Amino acid sequence: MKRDPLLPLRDKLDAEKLSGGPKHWRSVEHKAGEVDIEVEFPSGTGPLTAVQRRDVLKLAGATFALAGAAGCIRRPEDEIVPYTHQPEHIIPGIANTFATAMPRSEGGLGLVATAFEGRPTKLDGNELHPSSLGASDVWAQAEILKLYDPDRARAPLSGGKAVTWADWDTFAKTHFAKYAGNGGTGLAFLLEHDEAPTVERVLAAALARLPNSKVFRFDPLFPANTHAGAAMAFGAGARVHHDLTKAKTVVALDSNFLVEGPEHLRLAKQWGLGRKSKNIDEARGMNRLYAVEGALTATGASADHRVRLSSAQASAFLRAVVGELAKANPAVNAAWGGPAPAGTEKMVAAVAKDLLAGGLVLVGERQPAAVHALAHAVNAALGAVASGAMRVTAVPETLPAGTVADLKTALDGKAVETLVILDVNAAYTAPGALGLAESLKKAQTLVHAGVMPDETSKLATWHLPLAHFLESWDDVRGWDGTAAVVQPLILPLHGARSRVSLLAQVGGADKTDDRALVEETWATLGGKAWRQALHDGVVAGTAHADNAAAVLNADGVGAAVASLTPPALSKDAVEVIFSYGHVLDGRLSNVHWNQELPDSMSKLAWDNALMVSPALAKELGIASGVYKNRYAADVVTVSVNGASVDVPTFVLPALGAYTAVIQRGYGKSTGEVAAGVGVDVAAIVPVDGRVAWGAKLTKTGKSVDLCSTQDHFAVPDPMNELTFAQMSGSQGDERMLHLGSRAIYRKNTLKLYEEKPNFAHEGDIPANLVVAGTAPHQPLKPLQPTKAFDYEGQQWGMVIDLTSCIGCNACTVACNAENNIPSVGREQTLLGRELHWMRIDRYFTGDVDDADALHMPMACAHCENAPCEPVCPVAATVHDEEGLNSMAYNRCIGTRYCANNCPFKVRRFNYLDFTVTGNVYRDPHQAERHETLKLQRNPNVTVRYRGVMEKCSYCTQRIEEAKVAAKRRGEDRKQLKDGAVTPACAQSCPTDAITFGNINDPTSRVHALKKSDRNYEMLSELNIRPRTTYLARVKNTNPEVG
Amino acid sequence: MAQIFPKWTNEIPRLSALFVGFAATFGTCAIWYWASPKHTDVGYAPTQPIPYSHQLHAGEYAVDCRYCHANVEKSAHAGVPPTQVCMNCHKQVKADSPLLEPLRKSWADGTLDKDGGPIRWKRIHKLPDYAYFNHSAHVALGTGENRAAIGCATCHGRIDQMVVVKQTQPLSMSWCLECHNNPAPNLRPVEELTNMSWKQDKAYAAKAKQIARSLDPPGRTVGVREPMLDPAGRPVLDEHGHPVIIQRPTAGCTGCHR
Repeated sequence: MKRDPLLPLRDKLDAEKLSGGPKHWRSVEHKAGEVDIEVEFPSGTGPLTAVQRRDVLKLAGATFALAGAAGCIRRPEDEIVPYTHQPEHIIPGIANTFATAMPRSEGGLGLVATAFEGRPTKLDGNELHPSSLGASDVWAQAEILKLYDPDRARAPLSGGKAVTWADWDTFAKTHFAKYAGNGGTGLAFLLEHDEAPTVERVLAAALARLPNSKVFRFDPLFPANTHAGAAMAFGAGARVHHDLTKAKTVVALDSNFLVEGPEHLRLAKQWGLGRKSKNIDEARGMNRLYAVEGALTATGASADHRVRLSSAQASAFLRAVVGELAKANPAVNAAWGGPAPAGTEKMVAAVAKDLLAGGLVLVGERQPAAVHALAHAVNAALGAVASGAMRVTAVPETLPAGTVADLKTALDGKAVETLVILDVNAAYTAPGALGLAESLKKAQTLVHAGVMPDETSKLATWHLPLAHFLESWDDVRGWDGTAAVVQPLILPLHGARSRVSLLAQVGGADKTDDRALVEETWATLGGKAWRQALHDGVVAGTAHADNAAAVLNADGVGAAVASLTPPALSKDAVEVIFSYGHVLDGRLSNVHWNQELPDSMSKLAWDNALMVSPALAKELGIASGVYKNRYAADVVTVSVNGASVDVPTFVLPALGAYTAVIQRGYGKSTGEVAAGVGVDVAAIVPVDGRVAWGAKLTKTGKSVDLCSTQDHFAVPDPMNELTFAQMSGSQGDERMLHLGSRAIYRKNTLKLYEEKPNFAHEGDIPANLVVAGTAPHQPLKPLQPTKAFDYEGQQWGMVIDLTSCIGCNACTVACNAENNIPSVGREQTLLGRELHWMRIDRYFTGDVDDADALHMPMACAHCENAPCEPVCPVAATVHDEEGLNSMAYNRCIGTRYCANNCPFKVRRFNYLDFTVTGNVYRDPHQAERHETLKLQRNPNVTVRYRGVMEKCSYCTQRIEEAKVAAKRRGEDRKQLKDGAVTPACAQSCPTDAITFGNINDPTSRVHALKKSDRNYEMLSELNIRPRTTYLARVKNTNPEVG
Repeated sequence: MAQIFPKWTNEIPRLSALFVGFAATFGTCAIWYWASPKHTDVGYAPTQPIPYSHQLHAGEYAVDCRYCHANVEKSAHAGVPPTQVCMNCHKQVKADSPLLEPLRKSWADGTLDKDGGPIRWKRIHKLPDYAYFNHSAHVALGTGENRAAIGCATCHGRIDQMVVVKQTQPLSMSWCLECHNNPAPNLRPVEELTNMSWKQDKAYAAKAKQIARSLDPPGRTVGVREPMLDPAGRPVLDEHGHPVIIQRPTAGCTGCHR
């Protein structure tokens, strides 16, 4: 057994600090001291698959072939292939950026796409677009990989067989001519809800021609309750927008508004702005966030107070707050009030008091429309409209459309002969209770147009490859109505057609060219404004107008609220929440970046599982947990509403006691990446909701392994593993190192920050600490090396603000896209070999049942005293003159000593050739099909081969680009302006939690943050002097409940 | 009984040891020389699809390098001209030369899927994929008075005298670093960038030294070690009474390797 280095100090140290196990814990098992993980390089490999055996033979063959060839080939012949007709604006080696936009269920998002020689490689947010403000999220970033997905259909499929577009045109001409004759009787369209102007216009024209045809809409991601709630409060067509810069207090009621839902990027940015501070004076103005939730979301983790209540009880909490508010503010209708859920009385009073001083209640999509309406009523009564914190706009009427349930009725009643589906995977995403897949088979002709072939296209008579939004002309409307034109960056890779064209074709229009149709929609703009709109990525002045006439329908709200009857929960009647994670409803399941991206909370990758609370797990005898290097999960049968499904369980601290959460989008049967990953839970999804109540969980006795990265790359625990404590033993009591406060993650409440502005540095080892030599004649030796560093010129550094980091993972995907980071697949992730340069560590503190979750982004910290450098036998990792810890891949021989010596555990090793043969697309026979993926790669970053170490480079390619650009202009490349270089992570961050720049430039933002009293070095006791430092988190807790 | 081996055979092990020693030395030297880019790459002059003569165009007709290699000041890649650029002249000049048949074909149906397509030139100057060389960073460098350039001829040789272009420099890492450690001899005024016959005179050589001092080029292999001075200019001492030495790392790998 490892000797306890703290043994001589045990009795002197704060007993409480030591007895509770680690202060910040990664998993339930880590807290209990049971985790038995080889944190560095887990031993063992996966079983050799047949494919791998073939690889061995292939490699052996290649070795001989190369050995023979190397002798006679002088050098490989290479070609330069210039253009014949030079396209305008394309300079090989220089990236072009274009504004475009992405259609989304919750309103389109403006993006800026980067393209090299005509191939898009990266997507970022558009600063001019009101829903993005320059930020992007994991889903937007992932679209670039979806564009190049090798599984996309190369030709239309008729009855599963590849045919040509000419065949389709011939079929369409005769088939749809029939409907032109009968006014469209028997013809139906199924679309998503994205309010795109041209699609709406083309559809309206089709309906005018075919008045008897039907339109149905189905989109599991459409915020239907949010939409209906606004209509309930302010009348049909109303939409409510919030402005968090005008709210001191925000109450998130079962809402993950920072990461998902309409305008979440803007809301996150505004919320982050309200939390920025360099010192206590600025921190006093901080906003306060209360989260009331049963699921554990990123918003809950970011909140100052998290009230653990089930989704069912959320409405009761709000009603209790309303009752409290009514006492102080006569504008609030006391009739809407109600009793507080047990144990929340104090919190209700505190929330009400804060709201009275100016606040907003935001309600999540899971809550019924009545709760949304009630929140709008409360916000309005508290003067949010007057203060500008809330805005009511009028949304123009959309075409009348049926729901998916109506579609089923129509299909079953044989009222639909031909169903045209535009990129809706209804057979997979429709609630299982509906049994839509069976009904779809009843349509005589099922035409499915989709970017990816999917479960629905399997049932379809025709599958038509749909152009990705980066391949077609289109337009979108943001949630606030701002229109943006979708500009194609590339011609359709596989000859796909755009949705606008296809809709026009089946609707019988003469004109089907997508560009012409979009231009026609915006014909009123005129040439200059049109070009400006394309350039900016937004059409000026198209946001929905404020609805000045909006009057609160108090009676309607009152009646709806009164009818709410929250169900009671128990261990036999659990509430099951269906959430949409990184793969959404399955539309991004085949994007391996998102599959491999660990969930913000559970850190599950390549898997979905039923999250259960530790209390429920105990009651039901569920023993899922970490054993050795794997997460062994008990499989339970979830039975609800007469349907059941077997799912593995994951014990997640801080969940509501009887709340269970599971992500959708897994267990798909199509897609080389997605097929067979996780479990499809559609069977138990209720028809009209994201929550099922009254579920019963029964153990099946089976157990499976889950892929969770929560214990991967664990940073050594300063409490137990650092031997500096032994050294300090000789220093006497006054030299006592405050081990407890030398935490990796440092945080405090605003009140204690006020008392101790230096809290982030408590317990740091004094820089001049010396220890006596072992023999009397030896001089005092410094505990830490005193090598001096020269800070001349440009010195790069980064500060990550833990107060505003929301753990949304956007930085990780941005880093993947920018730095050509391959995914390693599920098997390799289980072995701890994922290659993400940027990871987000999630820690818990406190009691398992009511833990606080913390997020800490981790990437190479570019230590000045980098421990990785002296151990490299070939000097493959060395410092450069601007403070970067650079990594020369071509020098690396793969000893892995550096990763072993890295205390942050941020170095990644290519165990296999993950880029070509070892990635998630393993079948070598398909290698040619996978060529499309190469088009995504950033030409400015080396593609690494097997046996090479890699890590965050501070996006050195961007630094070099900026320096060369300065050089071209004749400016000093050693004095770049602040903001000239932004790494991919900082660029994508919705809350601007990551700041990068020259720490030597007194005018730079990063310099100012480094001077903040909250700025601390992680593991400063090792004297490694990391260039990435953190701003300790300040929680603005309410002293009355806090 | 007579000895089976005569006495001189005793020398065999010694001689063979000597031979092995010589062979190893020769082998090392041979690989050192013949496998280095100085030998393997210098002189590489592949046959191009069109026998384009730089001697004629750049030498005799004195067409500026940047007429064809137009991106050299804008991008990492100098660029090989599109067919379009060739046709600017060759629509009129030598419009029916049989040697230019591939050019006309490329111009006539210049799509990839058709037979003509772009002209596939053989690459002569090639760096490994992990080395990121940037032309635009070399053709104009320094700021203000210290603005200078590395001429085309410095790395590519007297292109104006080459009928068939060949590689004249090894383009190896050590060759790059030679100049990065001492750029002065290779600097020239920006206006003389494409002048093939320009040579430094004495006055410019002195100026070049001054410019080189201001440059601090990336990839420098010579690090800095100097005593740390306090504000008063005295050396700072550590607890043992030794002067504290500032170590500035050599300029890094990241300039070229990312």
